Parts: sequence; C-alpha cells; structure tokens
Amino acid sequence: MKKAKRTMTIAAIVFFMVVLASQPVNAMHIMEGFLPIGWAIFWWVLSLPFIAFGLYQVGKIFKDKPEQKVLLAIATAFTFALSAFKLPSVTGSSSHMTGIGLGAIVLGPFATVVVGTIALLFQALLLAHGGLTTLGANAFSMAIVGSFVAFGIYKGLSKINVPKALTVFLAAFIADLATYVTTSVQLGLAFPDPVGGLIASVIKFLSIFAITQIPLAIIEGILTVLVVNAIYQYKEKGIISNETLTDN
Amino acid sequence: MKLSPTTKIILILLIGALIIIPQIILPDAEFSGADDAAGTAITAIDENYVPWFESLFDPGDMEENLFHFQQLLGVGGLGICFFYLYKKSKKNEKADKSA
Repeated sequence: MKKAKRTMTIAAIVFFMVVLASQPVNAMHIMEGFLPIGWAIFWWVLSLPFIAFGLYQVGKIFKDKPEQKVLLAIATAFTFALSAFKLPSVTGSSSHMTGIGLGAIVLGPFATVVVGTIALLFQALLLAHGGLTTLGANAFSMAIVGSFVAFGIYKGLSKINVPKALTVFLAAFIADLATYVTTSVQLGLAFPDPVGGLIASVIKFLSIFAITQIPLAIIEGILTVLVVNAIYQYKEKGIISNETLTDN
Repeated sequence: MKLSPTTKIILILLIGALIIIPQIILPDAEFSGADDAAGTAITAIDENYVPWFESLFDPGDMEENLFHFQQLLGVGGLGICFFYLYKKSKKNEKADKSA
C-alpha cells in the first residue's frame, strides 16, 4: 500500500538523518561507582518492585496478547536507538535521549520499566556507560519516572480535548526532561553542597543535565509523534491491537 | 490521529534544524558529555569522594564502535518491526480483495 510505504520511507529518512548527524556519547546516566553505597542500595530497593511487576506484565503480554509482542519490540528498539544518539547542545556539553515515552504510550508504564532497564543494563555492561551499582538509580530516573510521567501526561491530556499529536509530543518531551531532573535530584541527595546544601547541589547538577537536554527532548518528542502515528495507522487497519492508543 | 504528509515533512525538517543549528553555532563543542561534567561537579563538592566500583568491562577505544552497534540494533530492529507490519497489512489487503 502506498501510504504504508510512504510512512516507512519517512521513518527511514528520519533515522538515517539522526544517525548521520550524531556521534556516540558519554552522557546522561550516573557513572559506575559514583553513588555512595548507601544510596546505590536505596535506589536499587526502590526500583526492584517496579522491575518485578514490569516483568510480570511483560510475561502477560507474551502469554495473553502475543499480537502485542511487535509493540514490545518496537519500544525496545526505539529506546536502544535513541539512547545511543547524542547531539551537541547549546551549552556545549552533550547528552542523549531516552526513547521511553513511546513505550509508556503503547505498552503502559510497567512493561516500559523493563524495556528501559534492558537498555540501561546493555549500556552498563557493554559500554561502561552508567553502571551496575548505579543501575537502580538510573532505572528509577529513566525507566520508572520517565515512563510514569509519560503515561500520566498521555492519559491526562487524552481526557481533555488536546490534539493527539500534541499529547504524544508533550508526554515524550516532559518524560525526557523529568528523567534528567530526577538524575539531578539523585546526585544532589548523595552529594549535598557543603555551603548551599541539597538545593544548591541539585541546581548545580540540573544546570549540567536539564538545560543541555531541552533541544534533545524536543527531538525525542517529534520522533515519538512520528512513530506513534505510524503505529496508529496499523491499529486502524486492524494489524495491531492496542488499548492505550486511542483516537480523539 | 493522522498526520498529513505535509505535517510529517515539516516535523522532519524541524528535527533536521534542531540537529544542524547547534553544530553551526558551536562547531567546536566539547563532546566529553554531561556525564563527565557531573563527575567533575561531584569531585568539586566532595573532593574526598572516590568511586568505589569500577566498570566490569572497559571498552576503551571500542566504545565509539559499540555505541554505533547499539544504534544499529535499535534502527535495524525498528526497520524489521515496521517491515513486518507492512507485509502483514499487505497480506490482509490481498485476502480482503479475494474474499
């Protein structure tokens, strides 16, 4: 079909462009060993129940809704692709995207926690990016806060009369920023400023992460809109079944 | 939700602009990344802090290639998924026509 072909071509062009323009990164997650052991354990303990329930949800998709496995694959691939792209940003330091919003919209927040944690684990083990001791904290900021913020905004704006494309954009955009704010708070909690205390520290880390993140979050929002739009067309044709993706 | 082809093209151009403009404004931007900056900030706040755990595997010079490998996995995976959906919708259409 012509339309499907066109959507695919456009998607291919976008990703090709991003690949060409980007260079590999070393930014975003808290580095291995850079959280004191107490905090590392604290975030692990907080994240584990979400990961466990997420795994249960993923199991349910495999068992009860096998036709949704392709959405699980798309969400995972999207997170893999986006979290390996970085761009230079206005402040001169570089960072990258998360890709979490898409999963939260098409799969719901819990399954997306698993998707995000898999991407983080891959980067921690293979790329020395992030780390195992800081995986709990990084999973909390990206996979948990990111997907619940995206899901909440998507559900909330879907209830009032906001155009769907804008809803999807805002869900992905704000989720991306929320991840960085969380990372800054986590670092601020672990390393309060000796003079200004927690707040001064959080602001210091925020200025490193969040501001560099805004152009990236916009790109992430737009890419998510394009992919959700493509998925929605297949849902309309009855190729994919999905409950969370609704029209308005 | 259905984006018109014009909207899609505008959105793609917007992404292009967001990628290209910072590179024109800051051609020499440091690529060391926010991660390293955070590390420096930690040492500035608490100069006695020593990371207590090292990465199990240090990719060294391979790091860049491994990041490209991750990009490839992601983009390739998306390609395969959408190709699968495209094939499936084509097959359904054929079945509808012959029915």
